[in-house]
Amino acid sequence: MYRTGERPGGPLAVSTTGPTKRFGNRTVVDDVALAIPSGSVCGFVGPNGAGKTTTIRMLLGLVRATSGSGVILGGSLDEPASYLNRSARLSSRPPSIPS
Amino acid sequence: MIWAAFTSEWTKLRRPTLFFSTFIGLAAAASLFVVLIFSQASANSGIVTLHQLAKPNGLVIGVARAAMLLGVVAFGIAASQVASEYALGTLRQLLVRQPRRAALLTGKMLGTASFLVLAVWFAAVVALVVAVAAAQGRGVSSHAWFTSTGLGDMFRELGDLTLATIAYSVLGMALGQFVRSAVFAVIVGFAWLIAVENIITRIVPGTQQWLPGASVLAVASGGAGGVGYSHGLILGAVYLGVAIAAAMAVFLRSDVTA
Repeated sequence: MYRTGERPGGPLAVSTTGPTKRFGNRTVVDDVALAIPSGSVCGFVGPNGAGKTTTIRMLLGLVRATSGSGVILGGSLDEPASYLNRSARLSSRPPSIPS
Repeated sequence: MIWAAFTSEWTKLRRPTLFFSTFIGLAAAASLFVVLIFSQASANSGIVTLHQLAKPNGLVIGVARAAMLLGVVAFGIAASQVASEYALGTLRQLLVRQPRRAALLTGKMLGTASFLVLAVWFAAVVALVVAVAAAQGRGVSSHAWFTSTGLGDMFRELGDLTLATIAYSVLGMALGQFVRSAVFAVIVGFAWLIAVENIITRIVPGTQQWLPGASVLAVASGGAGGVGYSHGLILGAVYLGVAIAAAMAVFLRSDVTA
């Protein structure tokens, strides 16, 4: 992950401007700014409860950001269908497939 | 997109454990009703009389009586299918690949409703075969069943069962959307359809005209429990529309965190 303004040259695959997520009064993701260049390999690390999963889920359209915006693969964060068909799939943990 | 969601839902519904237990379970339940009705019928008493069973609509009396049980089971299966996808994390995986939620939910509803309609058709056909055999055993003439009037009654009952099954399925899926727990959805649904509506109608007479379960049951049975068929059809359609709109609104805006 590169902080905005520190990134090397090249187009951005993911660019966010302060997505924030609140569940009631609890803020679980606060003003995250991401700038991930295309073709780069990034790690997204942090302590438990830092909001990593919620941030990824916002990028995947599973969780709606309370505020903020972003552009992923040229599509708006508010319209995940516009970019998810061109993104790799995510498996945060093995899905439970009913047998 | 809707077709993809529909076929993927059917892939899940075709699992042998669910498929066979649903089809065989519903067929056994409907057949049991038929056997009980024929075994309890007598010349002038019982749930129905032997004379009534020999009428053109005698073939479908058992199936019509089993309508509520078939509907409740369909409701439970639909509710648990939707709710378990939240609990198991399956929905999260689906939405990453199929992010158009309205199309996904439409496909899932069509898939589940069509699965349950097929299961109820199968149960009805098995129950009708059992009715023919039971009629032989009790010496009931089945001649009138296969006249144009009798066949008309049979197809009308199958049509009514189809409409009711679609309604029960959609109501079940809508409830599953709201509660997101398979066990809780089934308990709440069963309690409402079997107990709560009965209690309400006994405490406040006349309310059965406006309750969703009673309305759908009236459609399934061609009018039942003091609710006319046409009234049940209209009110059931209204409840169905509200359930679809509410489920869609919730599904489009809700966070999937499981």
